[in-house]
Amino acid sequence: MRILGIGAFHSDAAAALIDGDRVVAASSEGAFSRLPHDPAFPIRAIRFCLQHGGVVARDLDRVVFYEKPLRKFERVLATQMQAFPRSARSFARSAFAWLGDRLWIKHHIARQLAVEQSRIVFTEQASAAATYAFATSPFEAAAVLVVDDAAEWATTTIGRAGPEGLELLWESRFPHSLGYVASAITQYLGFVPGADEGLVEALGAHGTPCYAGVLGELVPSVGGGFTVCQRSFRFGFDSDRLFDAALVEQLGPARNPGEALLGGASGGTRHADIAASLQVVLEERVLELARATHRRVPVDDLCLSGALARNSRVLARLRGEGPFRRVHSPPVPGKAGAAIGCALYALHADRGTLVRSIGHAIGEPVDDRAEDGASPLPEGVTAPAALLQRLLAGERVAWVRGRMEFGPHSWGHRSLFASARGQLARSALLAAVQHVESFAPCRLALPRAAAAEFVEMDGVLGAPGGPLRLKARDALRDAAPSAIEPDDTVWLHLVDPQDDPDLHSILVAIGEQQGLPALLHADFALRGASIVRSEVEAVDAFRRSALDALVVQSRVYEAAGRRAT
Amino acid sequence: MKLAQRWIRWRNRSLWTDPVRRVRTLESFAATEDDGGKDLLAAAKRILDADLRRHIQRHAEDEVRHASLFRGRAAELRSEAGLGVRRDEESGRAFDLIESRRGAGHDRHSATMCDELGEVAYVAMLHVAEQRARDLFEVHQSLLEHDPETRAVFEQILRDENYHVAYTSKFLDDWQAQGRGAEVVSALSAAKSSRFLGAWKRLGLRSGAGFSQVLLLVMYWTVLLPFGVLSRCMRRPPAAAEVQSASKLGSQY
Repeated sequence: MRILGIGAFHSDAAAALIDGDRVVAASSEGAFSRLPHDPAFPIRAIRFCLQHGGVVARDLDRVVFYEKPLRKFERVLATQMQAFPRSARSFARSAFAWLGDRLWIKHHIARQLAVEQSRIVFTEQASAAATYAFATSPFEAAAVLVVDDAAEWATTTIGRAGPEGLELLWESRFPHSLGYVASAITQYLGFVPGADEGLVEALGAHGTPCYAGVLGELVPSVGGGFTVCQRSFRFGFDSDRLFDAALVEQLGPARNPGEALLGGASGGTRHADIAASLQVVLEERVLELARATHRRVPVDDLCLSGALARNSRVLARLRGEGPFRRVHSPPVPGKAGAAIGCALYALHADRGTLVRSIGHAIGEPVDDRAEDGASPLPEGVTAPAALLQRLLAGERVAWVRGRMEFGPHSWGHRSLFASARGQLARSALLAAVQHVESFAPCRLALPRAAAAEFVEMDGVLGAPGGPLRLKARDALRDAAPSAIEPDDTVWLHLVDPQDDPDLHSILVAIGEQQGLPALLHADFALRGASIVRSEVEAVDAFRRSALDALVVQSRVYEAAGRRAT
Repeated sequence: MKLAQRWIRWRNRSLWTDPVRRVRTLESFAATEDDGGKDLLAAAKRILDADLRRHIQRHAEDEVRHASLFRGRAAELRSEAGLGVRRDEESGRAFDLIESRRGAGHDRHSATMCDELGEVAYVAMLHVAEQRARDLFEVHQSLLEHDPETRAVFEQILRDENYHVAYTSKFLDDWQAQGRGAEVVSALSAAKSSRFLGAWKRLGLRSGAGFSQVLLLVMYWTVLLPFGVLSRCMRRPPAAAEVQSASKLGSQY
């Protein structure tokens, strides 16, 4: 059975193709359009999936869209009317978009792909997100918690999943949305909502949560769930400006993009304090939701999905203090993951089959065409060996190989690596790709087998991909100080030899030579751009960066002024 | 002044007196110049003719400097005017129904554009774009008598724009002299018509989107007004609820 899953129109539009019992290809539209978080109908991603799977559109058994458009339109109309007359301008904009094309998505898909309308079906976003989370987990049965920004009506959903399928039990409804509260504060702090929430999380580690009381009152806890004070936020009816003047009255003036972060309590900054306070409120509310989930579904295991599942500190707190013994978060917990999830859901509904092994390197492969300036690796020298040599020499190196990974982060196939030693190693790596925020997060790649020596590993799951934040031990604090956040945690990428033998071998060799088997690891993307997809994009990004070398398959590109290999 | 310039002048007559639009325009120019600089830098690496490559590299550096000049002046004006948080840059753009997102305001970077077009077509495209930019900036400069600082920025940039038009023109002339006249004429005509078609499409998109939104706004204040008042009086639905049953796959609701 061939099923195409499609997600679009909110953020991170994506497509995924299932053939038989395998996800053969998936990609976000932003990888092709070069617009990060591109919400456009993912026609380029669809073309790639079909081409890679060797499938023509008319052979598809099902085309699944990841949400119910009529129900979402009902929500948009209802919330616009509830905000009358403040919603006049936003109504004109959103009604235009809806009446213009979103309502006619079935016709649009049928026309674009030349498939019969009877083959096009629709899932709920929560079902798609929950199915994807469960399918990527190692659990036989689990509770499911989806904490998102917005879907049709549901923003937060509790359910249970098992071999018999998925059952949704409870939902919190728009505009009561934790994801949108996080986005509104992100915008208030001068960052891009829907994209820079990770930066705000990282900024929070440098502050004191002295505004937690104020923010907590805006998102009061109610019987295991929560509500959102609508006086301080506008996201209920306006997708451009998410916070209202009342929030400025409560927290002080908003920060303009690019402005300096202002001084505040305890030597940190006022903006960092607000970010820290938001983090505390999010953690508290998600913990309460997890407890409510456990009361309804009293099992050991939880799958967490949705926008908040990208927050590594929320996950860490849930793992440490939550009622569940094990917590899993999928590699792509946002809207893009739901494009796979809707296809999985439809497959289960039709055939009762739940696909469980979903790789994350399911994007476009590197085409084997060298660009100007490429030098072949010397005879007998493999790419990992060349990379190791350069990393040991203290270089910052980009590595592009194999198929592109699906999701917001690269896990080694379109990545930057640098030695983790030294106080300034992280800022030097991020500055090389034009990041200006000194607090921007960066992962630390460690072999799983050696990780317990450097971080507190209690109860950590084996599933790769999800954000993993753990407490650092003294050995790591001394050896890789720049990877450790002020809250003494580190964002980890645990590498298993069976999943990525090349990267694993590099880490082990570095450990043998330097004592610490770790590397700083970041996405190969210039600031504000998508992760590079092809060799030509990689070379172009490399030329604009301050990196020392780029290794693509069996070729190396040197920074200008360096000798050739 | 050319007819096109008169039209641009008339259309932008109030642009520089409104502090918000003034800042936004400069920020938008900065983004365009930035993107252009990146494109040119990528193209320069793929150009075989060493002389042309040198010119394009200098052109790229100019564009980056222009972006910085525009951005710097915008920041000064933003601070002088005490403007608050910048709204999402995309919110002011027409919604592109074909792409289902707001239209990209600036040409996005494409590292392969020069390969796709070839050197002659690429330089022809640059020539047409630079001519248009020079005309546009001349008009903006003439509207800025009341703001000498911003006017000075345009003056500085116009000097470079003249150079850009001149060097692209020289290369096109050289190619024509080398017997590639038909290729050059066809490339120039394609560049002009693609700009014309693009402008026509944007005009259609903008006017269609604008007209529809005005109609929807009228509907909001007439047809929907009683529903809006009614919904404000009604009790709000509960913030959370039990999920009743999963809806069917075939249903859009």
